[in-house]
Amino acid sequence: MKKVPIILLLLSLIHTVVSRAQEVPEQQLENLAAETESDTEDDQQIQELEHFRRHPVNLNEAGAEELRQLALLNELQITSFINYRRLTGKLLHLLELQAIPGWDLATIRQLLPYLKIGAVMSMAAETGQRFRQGEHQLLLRMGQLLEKGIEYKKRAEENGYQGSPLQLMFRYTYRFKNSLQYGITGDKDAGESFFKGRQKAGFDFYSVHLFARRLGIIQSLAIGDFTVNLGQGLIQWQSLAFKKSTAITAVKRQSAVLRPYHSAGEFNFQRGLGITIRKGKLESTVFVSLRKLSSNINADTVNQEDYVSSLLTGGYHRNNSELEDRHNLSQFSAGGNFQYRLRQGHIGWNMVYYRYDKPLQKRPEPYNLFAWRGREWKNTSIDYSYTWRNLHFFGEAAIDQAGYASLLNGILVSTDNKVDLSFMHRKLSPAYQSVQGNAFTENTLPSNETGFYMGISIRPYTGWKLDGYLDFYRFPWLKYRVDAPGGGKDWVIQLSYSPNRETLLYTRYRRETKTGNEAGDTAILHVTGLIARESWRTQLNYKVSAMWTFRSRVELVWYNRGGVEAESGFLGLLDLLYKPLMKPWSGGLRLQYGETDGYNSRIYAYENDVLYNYSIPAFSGKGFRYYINVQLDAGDRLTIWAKWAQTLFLEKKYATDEGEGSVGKAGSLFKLQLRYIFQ
Amino acid sequence: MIRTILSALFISACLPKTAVSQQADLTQQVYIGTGAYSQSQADLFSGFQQTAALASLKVPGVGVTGMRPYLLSALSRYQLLAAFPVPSGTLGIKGDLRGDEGYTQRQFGLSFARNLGTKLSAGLCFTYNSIRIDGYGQTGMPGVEAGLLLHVTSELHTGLQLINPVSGKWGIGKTEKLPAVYVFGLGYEASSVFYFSAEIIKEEEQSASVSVCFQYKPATRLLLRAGMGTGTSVTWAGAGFQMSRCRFDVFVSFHPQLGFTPGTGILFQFKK
Repeated sequence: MKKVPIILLLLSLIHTVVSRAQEVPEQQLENLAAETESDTEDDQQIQELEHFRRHPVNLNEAGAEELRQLALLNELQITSFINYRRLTGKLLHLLELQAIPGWDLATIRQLLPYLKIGAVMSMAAETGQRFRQGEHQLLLRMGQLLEKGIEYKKRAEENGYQGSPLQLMFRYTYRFKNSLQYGITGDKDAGESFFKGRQKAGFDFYSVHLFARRLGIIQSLAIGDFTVNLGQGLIQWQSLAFKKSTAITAVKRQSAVLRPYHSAGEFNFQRGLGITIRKGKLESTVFVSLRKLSSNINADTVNQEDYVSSLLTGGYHRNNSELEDRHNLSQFSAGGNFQYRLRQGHIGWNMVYYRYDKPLQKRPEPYNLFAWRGREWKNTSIDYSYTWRNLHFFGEAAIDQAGYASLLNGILVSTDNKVDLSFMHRKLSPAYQSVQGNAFTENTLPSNETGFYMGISIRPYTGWKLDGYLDFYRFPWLKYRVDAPGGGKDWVIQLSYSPNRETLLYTRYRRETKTGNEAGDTAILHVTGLIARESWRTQLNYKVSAMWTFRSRVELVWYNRGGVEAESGFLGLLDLLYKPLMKPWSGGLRLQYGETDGYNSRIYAYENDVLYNYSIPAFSGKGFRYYINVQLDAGDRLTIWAKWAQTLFLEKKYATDEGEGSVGKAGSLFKLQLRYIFQ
Repeated sequence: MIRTILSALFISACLPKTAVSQQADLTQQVYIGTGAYSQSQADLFSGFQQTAALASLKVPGVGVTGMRPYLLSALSRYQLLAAFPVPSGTLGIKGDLRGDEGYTQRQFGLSFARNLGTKLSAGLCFTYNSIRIDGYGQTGMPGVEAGLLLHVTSELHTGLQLINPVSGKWGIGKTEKLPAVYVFGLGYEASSVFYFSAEIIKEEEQSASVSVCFQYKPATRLLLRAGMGTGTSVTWAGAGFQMSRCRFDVFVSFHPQLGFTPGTGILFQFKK
């Protein structure tokens, strides 16, 4: 009863809180695409959000792990919610969310489509339903770049692509709430054969998984493909994880240790068995995995032993040379985690072990001096987290097989409802190595870096928000394309204005200065210098009416302004989204103009695509790009998505685009996706 | 002699791959275009900075402006503007003449703008552009300008303007084209007397530029405007005096290398 007045009080405020379309972390995805220069194929996060949109999380039975799965809340907000529910009992209505300390209106708006308030179902009652009352989902996606690249015109003997340019993906999944899921995924990249040649089994890549949660003391059971995520990623992190962005409290890696894997990416997962057991405050995870990888194998004529110079992570097996490298390396891995869990935190011990049937030895370049070599590698670490009042401490200390260490520590602070802060310090030895690490570092791999990050988010007045971060870092040893020890700093400031729920206007400036090889220097070891990259973006999202949404963006980029081979770039885009009321279809249109001096001033822009697919193409050169998206709900079970995209280059400059055929005046892509859901 | 050299430099700067630099146009007329991203501050002149802003006009009007860039008579510029609200929107006409007998640039435009509900205004302007240069000859080409204004709140307005997004080739040898220009702007009406706006202007093959300006009305009959633009590093200020249905504007801009550009304008609004 105590809650009723609170709810009535909030009722006058909450009317502004409405469901929004599924939101993806566009900015983080764009940053990730810029770092890796490719689109991620890991759609696990978007699958989770789509599942929770269709089957919202019951806040009265959700644990911290389930809330972490949403990836929309930081650790302080999760702890705050758990404490709130513990103190006040079950929630009565979603309106109550505004009473939870640290849950601001923007967060609640994002979360609402994925949450519900319901009764708690006993595990025993649920057990019988797991295999019968879940949801089956069939997904088929095809896409093709219409302009055929030169590789398709070559014969197989000339190392030409052996398959068609059609991309195909299918996925079947069965899922009952968050308790049980299993399925199979098949993927064929453009250029790969299908039911012929070396791919007589059809798809080039298959993935099978079975994943169960909450089976008595067994918290998670994974059979088949799954990912393993430990600590803060210093020794192992395989799920999608982001680095710096204006989401300043997202600096902490947070995930369950085991997660099901059913994406089309062919590298970042384990194949075998994993189990997490929890008893009281103790939790333990163990996994074993055995799988084949593709790699470049070199012959060592001196020692009469072949060795691997690099692992091929792209998953492309289109021509003879790629097919010869296909699955030519066996990888065995095992490891686990032991945790002591407190109400406000945890302390854990992690270990991973990798063994290959051929030795790994990277190219003898100076920057590879500390790269690990041999058949096996081990890492171990201790990680912790603890929430004290409005402070959340976390970190990890790791050591590798050779005895080199890395350390990462951070703090999240929610000073009050108006200001959040985050700090992170990391010190990673240049000799420290891990096989599947992915921590919050400037470098892609967690190694060779010392740095300090500070982030701040201020909400001074209703509707206004100021986010920013500053990060200093040093690289004690050489890196790829950086032929001397160096360092850098980057900072971002973003001002957002959201006067009402229909409008978001933000402007963001980012400057990154870090050591790089000087252009034009042809020496074996290049002269290095500080190279700056700046970008300024202004974007407006505006829901003009119940049916029409308008989005416009202008972005300016400067590369090495005032320096050698300086470049600048411009990109302006306009999105129109149309969703008629009470109609089974919706659509969107983008018109974009871009002009950059070269590839260094390229600009990434997130695109709406068919569901479960990320499209973040980089634009360089000069020209227009447009796309049209359509979604049709053909009955209760079948949904169809289609996309047509085309780039019209006004000048013949090199321009990256999706896949082959990127050089020239036009790159035309068609995608079609069907999803059929049944019970 | 210096004037001749400066004139030649200016003309050559305006004749890169594209025959006419529209960006220079836009930054030159920021004074008279102030108010484009607003409903209450928009006037006849701002309707020609942002085509969609014509839709805010409630009464017919006519205006003339004149300016002398860098005090060079060879670059003198004159504009005649008129707008007439009609039941379905607002019709506008503009004429633009610059240069002298050695170099003459002309533009004639016919515009139409209307409100699409309360949150959206759109405008379209068809232009005909011509250039005549001694020893070069004369050439002309039609162009198009499309504007969109979003009235996000009663205070906040944003807009897009596309100028010649597609254009055919013109000139001798058909090697030149009208430059495409993309403008993104926003205006914020902090109060009935203070207004602020900013624009990002990107012209094909030119660096993007940013211009910001504000307008302050210390008295009913007086308005003050000032601003700056990065495109040609110009700073400007001016004042307008309202007398009955007539407004007189004087303004000056300053370029660090090329010097001052004085200008004046007269705006007359008819009865409804």
